[in-house]
Amino acid sequence: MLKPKVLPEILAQCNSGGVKTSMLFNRDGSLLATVGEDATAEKTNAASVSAIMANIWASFAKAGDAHVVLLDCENGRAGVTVVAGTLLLCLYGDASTPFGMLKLKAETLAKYLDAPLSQILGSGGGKDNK
Amino acid sequence: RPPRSTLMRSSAASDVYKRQGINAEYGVLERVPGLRAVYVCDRDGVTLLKALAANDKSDSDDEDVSLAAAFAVSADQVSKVHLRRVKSLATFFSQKLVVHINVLPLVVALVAEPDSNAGLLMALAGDFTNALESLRDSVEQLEEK
Repeated sequence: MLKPKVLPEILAQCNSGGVKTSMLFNRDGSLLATVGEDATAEKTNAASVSAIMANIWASFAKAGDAHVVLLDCENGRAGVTVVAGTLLLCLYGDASTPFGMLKLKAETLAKYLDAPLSQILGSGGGKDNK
Repeated sequence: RPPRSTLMRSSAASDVYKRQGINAEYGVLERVPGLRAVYVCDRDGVTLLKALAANDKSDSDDEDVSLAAAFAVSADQVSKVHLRRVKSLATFFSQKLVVHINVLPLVVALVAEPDSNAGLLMALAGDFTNALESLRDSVEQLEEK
């Protein structure tokens, strides 16, 4: 069983090789866990970013069986993928973050978290695992 | 947003483009392996120009351009956070890769084989921005009216 406090530790493992922040959130954009370089800025950024990424995923994924979305922005690059069928994972870094790394990390982490998160979500445990 | 006579404005812009003889979209089709189609749309998803690869038999135009309007909305939203302006967005489907490029008020949609080089397609943002400059200006002027 995946313990909730282990989640930030797992997300933190992705934050290397150009990836600066990793976050897990619901389809409605509400954050479950986020780990990033600059803790203060992260709190401000992460909530807005997760809401927007959730919207983007909803728009683009409904056009078909999307499994990853990558964004190239002026100030950074982001990758979004689905985890356990119902949650979303977003990794982002600065403008020099290699896309291949972003996509691979997102897919690998999603695959790793799939089984334990599905178990938690499926059992209706949600976020109150004590 | 009030309804606009988008079709009339879009065809006027498209005529300007054709008169200027720019065919960046055709050049790109030849240069990039796996690329099936290039669409240039306005922010509402109305197609102004399209170019299909010679051997492309698919007729899923509507499907392929339906995301252009969503991209325009997403680009506006993302610009408000620290990531700032979206240059391009790649969506990986099992049967295709779709890359949208921000040339707002224009949107370029590139539809490619699923194993195509997404990084290469996204890196075309600069080329398309340059090639579509006058069409973009025309559409901007028409939008202001």
